[in-house]
Amino acid sequence: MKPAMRAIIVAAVALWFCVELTTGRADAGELPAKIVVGTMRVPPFVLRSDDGNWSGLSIELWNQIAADLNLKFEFREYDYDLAGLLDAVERSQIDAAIAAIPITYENEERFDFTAAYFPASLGIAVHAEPQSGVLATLGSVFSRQALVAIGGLAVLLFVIGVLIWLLERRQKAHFDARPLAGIGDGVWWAAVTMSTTGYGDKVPVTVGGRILGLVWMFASIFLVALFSATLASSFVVGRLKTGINGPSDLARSRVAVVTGTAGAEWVGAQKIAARNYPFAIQAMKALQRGEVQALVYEKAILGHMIKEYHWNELQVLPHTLAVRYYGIAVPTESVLKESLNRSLLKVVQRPDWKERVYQYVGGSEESPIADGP
Amino acid sequence: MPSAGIAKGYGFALAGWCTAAVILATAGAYLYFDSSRANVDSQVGSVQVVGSESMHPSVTACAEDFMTKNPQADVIVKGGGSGDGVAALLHGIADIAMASRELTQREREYARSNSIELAVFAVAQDGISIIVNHANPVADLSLGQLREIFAGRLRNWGDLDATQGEIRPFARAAGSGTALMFGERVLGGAAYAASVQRLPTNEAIVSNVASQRDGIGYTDLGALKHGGDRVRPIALRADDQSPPVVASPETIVSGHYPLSRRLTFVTAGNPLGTAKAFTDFCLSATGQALFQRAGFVSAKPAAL
Repeated sequence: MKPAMRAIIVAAVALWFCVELTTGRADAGELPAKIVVGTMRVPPFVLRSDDGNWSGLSIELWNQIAADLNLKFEFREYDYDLAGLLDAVERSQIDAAIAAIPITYENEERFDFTAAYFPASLGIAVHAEPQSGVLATLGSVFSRQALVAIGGLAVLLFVIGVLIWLLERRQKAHFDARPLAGIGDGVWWAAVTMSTTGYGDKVPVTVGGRILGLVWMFASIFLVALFSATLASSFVVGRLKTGINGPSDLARSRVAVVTGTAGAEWVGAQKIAARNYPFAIQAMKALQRGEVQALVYEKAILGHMIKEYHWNELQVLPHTLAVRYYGIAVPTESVLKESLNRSLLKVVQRPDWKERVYQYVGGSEESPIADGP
Repeated sequence: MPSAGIAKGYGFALAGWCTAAVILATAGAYLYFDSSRANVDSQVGSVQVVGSESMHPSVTACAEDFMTKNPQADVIVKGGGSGDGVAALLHGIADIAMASRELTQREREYARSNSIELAVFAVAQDGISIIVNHANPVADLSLGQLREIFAGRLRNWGDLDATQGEIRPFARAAGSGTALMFGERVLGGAAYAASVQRLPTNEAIVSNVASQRDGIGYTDLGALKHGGDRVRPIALRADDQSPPVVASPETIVSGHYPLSRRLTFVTAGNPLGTAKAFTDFCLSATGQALFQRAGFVSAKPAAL
């Protein structure tokens, strides 16, 4: 009986304490005078110009919250140190962290989160799949390489045509003596010879003409080989396929993830073997080099990098693997959490928030609906 | 009409030469066009940086920041140890070697006999920290006592006025610059005892000492943060009479800390192109800040 009584008293005291704390928290007057907010570069959510000005969607959100709460704050930079940023929140060395921190089980165990403010879709970046089909093939005929090959051939035919006419024009047998018609005959003969068609309608009869014919016959063999190889390669380059068309191809591909991100956690849960890279750009570079075939990461960030850095050979597949929600991380039992939450929801429900999202994230993210692996 | 015959003969020759010239010119144009394409491709500037595990995390962060400003460059940073890095450089596999120690006689001789001019750039300063578990009460150790521990002659914490328990020393595997320097300055060239467990990275040493009460190990300053408050760096005495000194930016710069060293980039000749740009970036204020954040001490750029 006695232990039960004690338990009830303890519970009652705890409850009273909780109520007291909650009401205390709700009172904005008790917020600290100045708080420290940790953040790190994650374009387009957090950007920093060379003169040290922070911007980006997450920073925009924070500035609006701080204005709403009349919070005085300073940013502390944790660039390239996600682990350090999360450690600092866990140990209450900073009052809040805002970057692109997904609300996950592992993170929630270490510290608290505010409400979510952005649904981040996980996607797959691959080496761009060039267009295939008749139109693309026709298009590649007009590539620079192909045009140079065709142009070179035309010039060569003309030169040989002029030469054979110079040698044969006095005979008046097959090549017209008048320059215009005669050179026309010459070009015709050069083309008939080069393509090994050999109609025999025009035939050189002088010694010089026959020597030129002999040289041209054999030179043509090399030239035709060179010409067709150049054309063939310009067709084929446009048709190489990456072989990754969706999530189901990941299991048999070389997959990259960035250590400690939502993508790494998702790939791990799918039991897909993946290579870990310390940072996003280094993973993207591995994709460019062909060291890996796919990179699983937040689509918004992938899209932003590809656009910003003009990596036109990379592209993000339309599929969404999963959705992770970004929140502001605060230390466990933070007195800020309730105020931040109220203010955050107020900000994201404002009519102009959608425009802010579009301004920073733009078209690099479609509607986040998971269609799974 | 002999002159006409000669003229005709010249005509044939001329025709032949013209044909040959045209063919050569066309083939040349093709080859030129092909090679100019290849040159455009190689301009993306890939730089291989290999070596010291101590430097690996900071240089990786520098590479990421460098590429945000030079998105067409590709800086690939790999660890493996200072020895691997210098070997890769000498064999032309790496563009920059990260070395947390000075070059050895053998490396210098190999470079000389292969006419490779090595350039060394200090990018940061470091002190090798001796760490124990947070539950270990030992306050400081002299270099002599450290030598006894890692040579296997001092085996119980009880002999050092600490809680009884068999000492478990952890060291880095061969090829590590940290291990080489510890071997030279502490062991005086003597071998590690068989009881010393050799681990591939500084992080592995930190996590082992963090989890084992009787562990002791050494690490660079940068890896210390992985231990949180579960490992404790201890003060060192150069000899039994000198005062104990803790590794800190001040004691490293002043030279009072007995196990300080410089972290360097080694290149074959003076670096060019992207390698030069990256080296400059590491020595810039932004790059140095990344080293300092990791726990290292900024270095004044100095080429040797």
